[in-house]
Amino acid sequence: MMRKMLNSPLEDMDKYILIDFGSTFTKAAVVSAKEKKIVFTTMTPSTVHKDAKLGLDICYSRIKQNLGTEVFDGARKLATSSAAGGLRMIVVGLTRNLSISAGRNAAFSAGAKIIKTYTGLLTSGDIEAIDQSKVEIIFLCGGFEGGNESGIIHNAKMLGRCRSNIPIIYSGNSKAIHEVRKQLLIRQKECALVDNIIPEIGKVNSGPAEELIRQVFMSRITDMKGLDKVRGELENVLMPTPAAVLRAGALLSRGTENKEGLGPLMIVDVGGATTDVYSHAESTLYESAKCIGSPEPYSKRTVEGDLGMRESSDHVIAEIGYERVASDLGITVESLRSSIDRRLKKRDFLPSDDTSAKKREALIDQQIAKYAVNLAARRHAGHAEAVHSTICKFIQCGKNLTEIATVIGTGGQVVKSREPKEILKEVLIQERDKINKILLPESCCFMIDADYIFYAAGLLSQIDPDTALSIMKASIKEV
Amino acid sequence: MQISLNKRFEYKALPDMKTLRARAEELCANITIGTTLFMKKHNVKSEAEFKKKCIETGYISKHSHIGYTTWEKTAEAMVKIYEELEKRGSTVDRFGICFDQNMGLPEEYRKGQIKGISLMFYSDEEWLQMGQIVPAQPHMGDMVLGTPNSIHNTVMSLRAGATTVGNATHYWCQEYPGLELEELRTIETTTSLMIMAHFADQGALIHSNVDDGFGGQMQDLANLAGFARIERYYMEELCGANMSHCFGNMFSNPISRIVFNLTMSDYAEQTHHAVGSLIYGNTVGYGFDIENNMGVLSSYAMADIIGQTYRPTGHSIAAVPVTEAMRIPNVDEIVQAHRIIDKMIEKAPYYAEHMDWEKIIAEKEVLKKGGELFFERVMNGLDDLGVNINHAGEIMAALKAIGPYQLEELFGVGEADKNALRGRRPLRPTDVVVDLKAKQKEIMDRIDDISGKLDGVKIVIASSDQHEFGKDLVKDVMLSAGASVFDLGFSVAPLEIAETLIETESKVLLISTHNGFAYSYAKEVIAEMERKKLKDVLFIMGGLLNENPEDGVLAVDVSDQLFKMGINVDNDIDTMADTIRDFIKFN
Repeated sequence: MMRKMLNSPLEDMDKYILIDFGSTFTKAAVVSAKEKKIVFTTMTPSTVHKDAKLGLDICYSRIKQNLGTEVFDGARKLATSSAAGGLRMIVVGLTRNLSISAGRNAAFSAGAKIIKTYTGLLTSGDIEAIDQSKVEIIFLCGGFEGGNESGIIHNAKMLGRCRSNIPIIYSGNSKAIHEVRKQLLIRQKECALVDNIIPEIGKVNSGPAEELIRQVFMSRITDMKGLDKVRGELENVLMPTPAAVLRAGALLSRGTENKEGLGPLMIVDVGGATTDVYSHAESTLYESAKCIGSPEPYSKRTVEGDLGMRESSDHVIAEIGYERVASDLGITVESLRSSIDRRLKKRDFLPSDDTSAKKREALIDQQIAKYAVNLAARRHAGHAEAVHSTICKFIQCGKNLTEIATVIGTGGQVVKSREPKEILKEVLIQERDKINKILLPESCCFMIDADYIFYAAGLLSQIDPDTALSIMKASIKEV
Repeated sequence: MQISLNKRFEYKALPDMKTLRARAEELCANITIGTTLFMKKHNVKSEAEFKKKCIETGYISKHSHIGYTTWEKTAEAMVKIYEELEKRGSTVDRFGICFDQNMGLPEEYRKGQIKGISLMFYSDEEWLQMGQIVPAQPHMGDMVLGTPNSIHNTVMSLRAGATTVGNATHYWCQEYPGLELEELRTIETTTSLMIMAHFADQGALIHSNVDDGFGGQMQDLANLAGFARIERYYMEELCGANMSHCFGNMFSNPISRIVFNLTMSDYAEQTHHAVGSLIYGNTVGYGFDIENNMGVLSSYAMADIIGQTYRPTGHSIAAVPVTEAMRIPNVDEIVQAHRIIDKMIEKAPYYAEHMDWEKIIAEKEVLKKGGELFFERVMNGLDDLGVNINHAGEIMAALKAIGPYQLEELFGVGEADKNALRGRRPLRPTDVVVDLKAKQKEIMDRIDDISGKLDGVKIVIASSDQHEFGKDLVKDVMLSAGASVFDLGFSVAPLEIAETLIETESKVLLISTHNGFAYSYAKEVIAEMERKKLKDVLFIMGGLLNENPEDGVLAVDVSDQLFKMGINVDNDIDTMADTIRDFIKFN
């Protein structure tokens, strides 16, 4: 599927060919560094499950056809991959607001998908549940440096009892490192050790853990069929797509030395299986609340593995309640169940597939997207809790998003929706949120990433930030 | 450079300086500076004019703080003090009006706030009477400038004839639990600075006590001098006002008082040549031992007077009664402090002529240059952060968002040293740091063989309020005993304590408290520990173990209640290591 030709072929050698091996599409964008804009984009249905090279060849062939072989040969070629939906992780820590919070933020920033967190000492029941989950990595954290050892060692021992050999990354108190390693190795568990994620009070050191998770992520991508062949045709498969999108958002928010950014913003990506929320803002204090827990990062990503348009559509509806959703849509519960079943069975289902009811199916999609954004934004945002305390009236847990000024939608459902603004408006604070003191914005400017270019901007952000910012600004459209 | 901004609001959205000035000018059209009895007595139009005369004649003026719960009681005391001093051949030149902290709030926000034990004004009449009771000039040093109610209080001060108005540093540290009025406070403060600028030619003088701001939290005196230079920059150079720096509460070394005032005086000479307001007494040196307090009074006051004989700056000498830390001083105690100072004013010239001024000036130069470097670094840093360094409000909000610790870490002038507090060795440590070290040494010398006593013991330590001195003292002793100490800092929430006990696996919790809510705070901490199923933790509380009753004036001791809750209240640093060791041994 060819999308558009934005400029005539150029003879110079300033081009970047930026590829994304997504689970639905293989996408390519050609960017001119001199002109600081996209000169060509194309996408083709993903072939990552058969042979990644097939999709790549199609994209390359179209680029050569439109821009010429000389431009193609001279261009730098970089790629991202979403590794078929992201790395499924479990985070184990000792306290909700310290080790768990830091561990979650690190895992999400590295591009992973967290399917469960366990706080405190693991039980046999927890181990049973972990065994039954389809988790790919366990992220074990906890203890400040020189702090808790027995809790960490207990959790390591318990994880050693897992029947499945799930790799474990340990990023906790280094005093316990030998015992943790011993406990895992004697039970033949694969484990990797990195610096403590919470080395001391008030500090988070997520870099080494994030880097390791990213490496595991990329090693999984190398299992992608056809990658050996693809490798030779790319400079590198650089980073997981979510990590690239996170970098792009940070750049769009902060700007470069030469160009201003948009300020505090959120990006919402509703996919088939997951909904990703990215926020780029300083986490300020809610009123005179006392902030608790590990420091919140400027750029934060969360992934909701139970909120999506297809595989997870059932969870979305169940969370809201089938009766309520059916009533909102003006249809029967049975009819709604049948529509959701279709989505579960056929992940590439499109409303237009059902010619007799495409309007209704489109409405259901719109509604699922709204619910997914609503729930995901609330899970991403911090909240304030009223306390009877002598030192403050509220404690704040998590990130304050009340200063967010722009919400950008990306991903097929939002971008292709006839009313994307209605979906994105779900981010805004509602009456019941005010009661629960969910820290979401009152009003925002709403935009969509029309060219789905954030992955490309993320790849470019470290090489040519001005160009990366320019292509994003050109791609986003107010709705 | 990684700066973590604790932004309270988006300061880029503040009204621009032009808009704020227009508002200030509009307000100024309806303000006439009142004439006080003091002005009439000395035939001046403002206190600043009087101070200029003092500089010329060598007269050293004196100051007293005053503020009972009602205006009636306050006025009555002013009369008694003034008359008694006159009778004894002395005088008081100015009264610092001690407002309750609620005066810093616009009326609509006062509901639900804890009522303090200082003065509240409820009508314009009370304001206007301030300067009409006795010929002693009212000084507005509390809860006027720097608060969310800055404009109203500044306007009323000027109308009452009180031309020295502060305390601008309340902007940094004066907080109101449960209220977030930071944006309002910034707008009100900036507008008030401009109101003061409008009347600068008529003697309006902004007063700023560095010790009430970041003074207590900075460890390098050179950085503090630089911070004062920043204040002077935005108040004088950007807003056009005249300002005076006050200091003293935390300056225990008499020579550092002289050096610091000379530094402040040099900075004033670089800009508007503004006269001084007052130098405050070394109140942190006061305790429950009256004779000790007498020594502190004599020490600080003599230094301040000698400083004024060498280079008169117009600063008044504060007569702080020796009972200040124990109760609200009565009239006799205030008079007593004045009489002591009167004698010192008489004798100080004998000392002054034998001082090694060359050495003192050299020290001043170190501080001055260091301060200028800090000023440059911070202003460049703000510029890099995108802060409009021509906007007083933006500068204030951004500096507060950065906070004193980061300012010292990132822009401090001391030599970098990974092992030093905040990563730098102070160019000149503040007296608080010096005193802390001396106190630590004294304790360490007193306690026998402490080394290794707590090897392997993990301890969580925190302060319930903004006071860190006591906590730091205990922390150092625990470290010397070999313990691993996890320091949560100040104003720590109970949930933070409980989660840190888990992440550190500590069995010992040390809480320092000084703000009159020991019982309520302890209850919260214990409840949170129970929620987290934390058992067998030795909870030691020290400091001021008291609680302000809802309707009472003085805080009452709550040691017994705390003890009944299972808290160790020995409050004895000498035996603390043994107590902890024994607990660990038997648990």
